Amino acid sequence: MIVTGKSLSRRMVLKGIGTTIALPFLDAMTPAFARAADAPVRLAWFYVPNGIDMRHWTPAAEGPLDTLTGILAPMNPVKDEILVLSNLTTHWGRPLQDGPGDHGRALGSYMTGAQVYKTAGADLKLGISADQIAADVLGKDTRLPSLEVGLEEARQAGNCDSGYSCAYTYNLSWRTETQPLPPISEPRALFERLFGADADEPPAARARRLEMRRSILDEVLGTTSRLQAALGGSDRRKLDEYLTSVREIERQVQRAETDGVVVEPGMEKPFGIPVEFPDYFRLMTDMMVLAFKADITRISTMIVGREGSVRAYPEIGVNDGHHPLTHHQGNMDMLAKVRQINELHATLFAEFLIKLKNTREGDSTLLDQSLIVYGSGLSDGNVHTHDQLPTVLAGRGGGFVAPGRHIIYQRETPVTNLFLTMLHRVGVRPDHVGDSTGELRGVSLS
Amino acid sequence: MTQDPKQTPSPIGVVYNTSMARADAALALAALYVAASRRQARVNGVAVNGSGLGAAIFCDVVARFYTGTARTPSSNAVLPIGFDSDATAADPPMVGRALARTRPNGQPQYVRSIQRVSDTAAPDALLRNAVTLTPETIVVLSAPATWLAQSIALAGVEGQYERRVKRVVIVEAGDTGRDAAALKRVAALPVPVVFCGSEVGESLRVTASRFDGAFAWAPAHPVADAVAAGAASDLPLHDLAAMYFALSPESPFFTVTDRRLSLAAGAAPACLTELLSLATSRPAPPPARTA
Repeated sequence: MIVTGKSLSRRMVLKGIGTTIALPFLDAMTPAFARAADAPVRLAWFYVPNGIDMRHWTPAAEGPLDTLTGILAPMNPVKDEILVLSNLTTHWGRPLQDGPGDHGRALGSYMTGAQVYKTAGADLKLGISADQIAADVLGKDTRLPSLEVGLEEARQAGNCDSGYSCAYTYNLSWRTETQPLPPISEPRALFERLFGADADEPPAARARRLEMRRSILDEVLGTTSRLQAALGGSDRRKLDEYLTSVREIERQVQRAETDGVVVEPGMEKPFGIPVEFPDYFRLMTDMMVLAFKADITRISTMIVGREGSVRAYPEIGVNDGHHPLTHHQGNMDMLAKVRQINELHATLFAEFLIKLKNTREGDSTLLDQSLIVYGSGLSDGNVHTHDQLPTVLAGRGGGFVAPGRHIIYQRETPVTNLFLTMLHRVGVRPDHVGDSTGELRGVSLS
Repeated sequence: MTQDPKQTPSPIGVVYNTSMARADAALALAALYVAASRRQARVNGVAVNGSGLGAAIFCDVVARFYTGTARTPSSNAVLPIGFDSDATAADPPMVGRALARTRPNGQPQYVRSIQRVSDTAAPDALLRNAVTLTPETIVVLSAPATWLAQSIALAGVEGQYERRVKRVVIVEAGDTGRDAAALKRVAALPVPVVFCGSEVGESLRVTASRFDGAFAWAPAHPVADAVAAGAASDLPLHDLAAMYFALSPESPFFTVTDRRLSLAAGAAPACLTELLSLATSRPAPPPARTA
């Protein structure tokens, strides 16, 4: 690491007219001899819907991870960076005399550990989600306290599952018991939240910029040049790479907006969303990577699909809706398609992890400095089981986690115990997260 | 005659926290499953502490015997067996015979879904989850109160217990009093708590020969094996009495004064017959579903 005589503020930004671009972590921001362990740890949760075909998920043995097979096989390139955690439960996703509506409960209770109040109206009641407990403490250190992302446009009203409001099936993050934080699903909106104009950019200026297809980087050209002149060679290169990434993502967002607006005859493509799901996933998660890299936020959630999602995946030859397929009742053809979907999600998540792993931060990598959950509030989507959930914890949390293992917990262990452990690692110390019963043992080897 | 399950009221849930170290505990568990088959109760959860893993496996064997052989019951079916994984207690001798028994092909006689500790459930979470499965729940405690007290201490649980627990029946025999502070915590719950003193079980002693042929309706029965392995010349029915009272609080066999259970005068013979009848009965077949 090059240690220069001067030190930049971690919160320094490039500023233009109505535009603010956060900077990535630069050597010049690290005081001499600062330890990587002092770097911030990022938290993220990826939620996949409708459960997973657990027969092809769970590693055969407890202990060090051997070559991963089945649905987890795409994670082999990062198998030494993940923990597979078995037997975790979301008790409050169960019916508990509230009748049908497992999808409505599964997503709502996942990060809150709370019972979902059954209503299709506006009288929502749930709990505070783990990410928001963290954001309440850590959010003041970053421009955005947290970032909520989703790959389906979030409905906030109406009956989405047997009397449960759509707000429960579309929102993973809950700021309060009654206030969900809807995820951003439109790439342009996400880009602008992260890198573009803050709310101060005059609407007319924004419209003019978009119409002229100018890059937001153009708005900060002056300050970029001045900063570059003051940096050492290594930092100049990093900054250049980072700004190139921002520009590339901006181009992708623009491309998604201008690509053919008709997906197939008679069906319009949602504006600004890539036609193919993998492209959409990559574009949104690339922005998450940059958000972490630039320390715009340290906390993020990603809803890969809302609970009960009926998305089809023609890119991989699955033209049926995901949710109907999961009610396979043992039909082998449907099961094979469910597995394909599960594998696609795992592949894309692994790509995201690899990007984090390839992103240096001081003497470490962004993945080393992260704790990222990949999981679902359902295991068997066919019969709606809320225990023995599929769960992966990726990253080392700044040296806290000893990854590369499969840990089998006692059954009924709340998944919120994992979230409580993560929060404690980043210095947030609530007594509990929803229904947690204590920290999860064995995540670290100490 | 067919019956539509949706039209019958939901039975009350029962949580049994046991050390499963005596034959009367095995009989109590059998009685619970028979009552559940008759829809007089719902088995919300069974948690074992104070004994080794074999006791939890035995409870699982009994559950599978009465409810079917599903390898991994779904969240809508029976919960797994809770077990104190930190404990180093030995397996009670009473369960050894049933667990060791094999079929002619060498396979275990009784199907089980617990092979190792991670097949059991965390006891504090299981107890909390079991109590909150139904709007009304009865808890029968016949083990050190450690884990039940810990479950009460979990965030938001005391209020849930106050709303849902209709009765706690505490068996004062064996090692229930080993964790006095925890027992005090359980006894302080703002719900009806009834102590079933050892004198109740002692008044309901039964000779081992009384069980001869009682389980003949099954070619092999894990509880029969446990009784045969665990009963000496005669057997006090502490847990079975407590379980019966928990399921039938209006029974004329018992009275409750100052939170203590007593056997009504002269009721012992009839009560004994009734208890044994319940514990050794063939379970009722599941109700047929109407179209």
